[in-house]
Amino acid sequence: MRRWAESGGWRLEVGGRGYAWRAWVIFVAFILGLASSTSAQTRGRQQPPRPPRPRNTAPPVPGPERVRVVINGGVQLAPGSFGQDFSLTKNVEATPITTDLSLTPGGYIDAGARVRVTRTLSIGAVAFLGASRADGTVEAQIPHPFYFNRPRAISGDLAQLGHTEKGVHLELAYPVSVAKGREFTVFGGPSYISARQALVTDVTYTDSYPYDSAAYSTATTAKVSAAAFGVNAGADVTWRLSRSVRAGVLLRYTWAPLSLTAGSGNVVDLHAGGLQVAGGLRILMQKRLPRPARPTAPARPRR
Amino acid sequence: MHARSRVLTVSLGVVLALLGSPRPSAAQPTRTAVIAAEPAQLRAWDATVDRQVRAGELDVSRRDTDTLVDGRTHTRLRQLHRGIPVLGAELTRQTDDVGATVSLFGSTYADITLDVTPALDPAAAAAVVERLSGEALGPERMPTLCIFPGDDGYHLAYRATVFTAEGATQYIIDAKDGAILRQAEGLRAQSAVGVGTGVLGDSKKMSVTQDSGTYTTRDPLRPPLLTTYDMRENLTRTLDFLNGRVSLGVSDRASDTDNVWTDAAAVDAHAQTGYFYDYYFTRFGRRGLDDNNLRLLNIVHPVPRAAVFAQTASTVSTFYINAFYAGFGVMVYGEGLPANATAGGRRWNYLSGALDVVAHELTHGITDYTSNLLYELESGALNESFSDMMGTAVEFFYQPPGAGPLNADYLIAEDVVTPGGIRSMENPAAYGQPDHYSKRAILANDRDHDNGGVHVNSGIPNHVYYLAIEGGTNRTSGLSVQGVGQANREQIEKVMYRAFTQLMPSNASFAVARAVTIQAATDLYGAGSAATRAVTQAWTAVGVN
Repeated sequence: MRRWAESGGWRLEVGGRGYAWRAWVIFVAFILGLASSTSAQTRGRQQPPRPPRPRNTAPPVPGPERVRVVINGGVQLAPGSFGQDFSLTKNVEATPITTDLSLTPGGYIDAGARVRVTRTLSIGAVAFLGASRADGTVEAQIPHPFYFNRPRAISGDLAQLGHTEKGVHLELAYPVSVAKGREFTVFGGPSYISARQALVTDVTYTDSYPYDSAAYSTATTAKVSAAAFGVNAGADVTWRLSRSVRAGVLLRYTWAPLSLTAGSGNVVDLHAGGLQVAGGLRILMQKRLPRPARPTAPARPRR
Repeated sequence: MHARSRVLTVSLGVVLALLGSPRPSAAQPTRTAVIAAEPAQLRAWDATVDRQVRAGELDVSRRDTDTLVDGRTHTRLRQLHRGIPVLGAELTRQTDDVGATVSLFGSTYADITLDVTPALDPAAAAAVVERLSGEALGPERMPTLCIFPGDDGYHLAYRATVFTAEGATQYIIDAKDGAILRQAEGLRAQSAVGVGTGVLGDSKKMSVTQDSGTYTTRDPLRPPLLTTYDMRENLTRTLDFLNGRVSLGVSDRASDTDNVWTDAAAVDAHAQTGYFYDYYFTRFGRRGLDDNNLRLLNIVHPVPRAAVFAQTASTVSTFYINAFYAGFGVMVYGEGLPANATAGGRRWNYLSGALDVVAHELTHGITDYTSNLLYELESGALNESFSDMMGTAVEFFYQPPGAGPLNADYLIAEDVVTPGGIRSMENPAAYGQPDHYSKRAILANDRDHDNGGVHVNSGIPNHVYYLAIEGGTNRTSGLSVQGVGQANREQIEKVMYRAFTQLMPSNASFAVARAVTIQAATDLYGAGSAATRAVTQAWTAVGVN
């Protein structure tokens, strides 16, 4: 069974073959658990008992960040429009069908991690999932059942043709500035995007004798998938919430050219991706270094 | 009226030829002609007609709403004598939106004093028919009672039509003693003699039915039940069906396994019957033969084409080089002739291959359910002419004007009877038809003489139709006509349709046809219109005043 659930103004497909969604939930939970575990480790819960801290010995301090877990949720703005132009055979004549579709903004989540490889550069991998829909119109020329060359024009609205994207962004990140707990990082790299789009494969119509006109009823659609490599680039601004947690706002543009085939001659060129605006958490996993001992103050002479 | 009796009435209408023939007799029935379109005439006749309706002497057989002039209604009144219809006695009354009579045409008979108790029952009359024809009539074709106005007075009679390998014959049998009062040609035939060649090769869409992987020629998309049956060259079975002894089923339909049809005769019969229905619906708002979506049933391949040389002349002229409307929505299309045969110096292809032939024959069905023009003498010629007019109108509706195959022109059957077809509306004399009333053929009213020359004298009203559209000069009278022009041919088509289906009485003469068609043009376009002028001038040009 396939059903749709509204979620914050955009749709996610669940149920049926929605294993990808469940996998993402598990993946995000795993990342959160990993972050929590790491954070706990940094607090020493799982560490063997430490020797009593010298009274004058400073507690450990965070060392250089090694791994940053990134979790975001947001909106992917529409990358634009696309159309279909194909032909079927009805009433023993060619039946041209065209669609004009625009992708609407949709929900978007991602999760991943960056690993510091130099003092300033990190590499990361972010898995993402987005869902939106395509709305637009469909037009067709339906041949007359009795006579050649007497097509009847029909048209109608198309709404909520499901569109999902998932994939992986590889990133090379570079912190441009760090000041007062606020970081500004730019990143970019290749992406691998798989898109799944509902496309029109046929139209149904009603007509009656003498069949001089016809009225659009519905469009038959089929979900078609394709994947391609693309690119991504963006910027990330974070604010410190705690020693190991940051809040972040991300702006990313991704782009990948796809070719979706819904049937013979029914091929759609589509640009997957778009401008993503998201916010989330950054969980830092870093070495905890012992705090350097405080210098002992000289004893003041008694009066 | 029951459909069967209505058809039989049509088929036997030929008997009324006697009524109009100038053969004085002491007992000759008294016929009163009615042509009333002027207020004074209408006032007088209206009262008479209303009185006869109240007395049960006239009966409303049909009432139709006018599809071309808002508010008008057309009523057909048949004359009854003690409940039995009088053959050929009918009035058509046109009324306006307030019920006032606009026109009244037709004729009735007076002084009928006949006893209507028959000495023979229908089965006995059917036995007489079987003895004469060799064909037994099925229950759907049993003879029905009528009053027959003969030369020697009125007769209580049975009427019946029987189909044989020789064609169709209409019988009038005296209900008192079984004597044959009348025997006449029963087909509305596309009569001609010629030779045929191959198919025209044009593509047509076929509206068919798919059943268990096989496609059969039943049109499920048009309102009437339109079916084409392939008799597989079995004349015996064809006759059994035409005489009501067997019914046809799915296995009798033309069929194809891949829906790419190669049986040209079946393709053209099936598709072009649909065209015919579409034309009448689109142009006039009419729904088939009876305006109530009567079935349309085509018969193709009634005989083996290759066996034509072994057939009698009658069989050849009926089932090979002919097409005919057999009543009840049934059309039979002749097989044509083999490539090595000619008739009348012409080749004959499958008769269903010509759109004008298909529309011509089916229009006989329209006539059956409307004016019911008697198939003899002038009314028979009008019957034939109306079919030629509509056959040509359908051709111009679907085909581009021009010469040669699949082009619209004023030749009849030119696509399947080559070269040249069998008639010309533009120049009837070129095909042996008169183009002027002074040249009309005066022939005996029997089947050996074409029921008084119905296929000959049709040239006169045919030429009226041509002149009213195209204009020109009649070759005999030298009178010129200003036609409405090709761009306005629809006007003349509507005038003729209105005249022949709404206003024309069954026993109309050419003079009545002139009055009726002028009335129709006036109704539709006004007294001073180009259409009215063209129709009036055309009738005058052919010598009918």
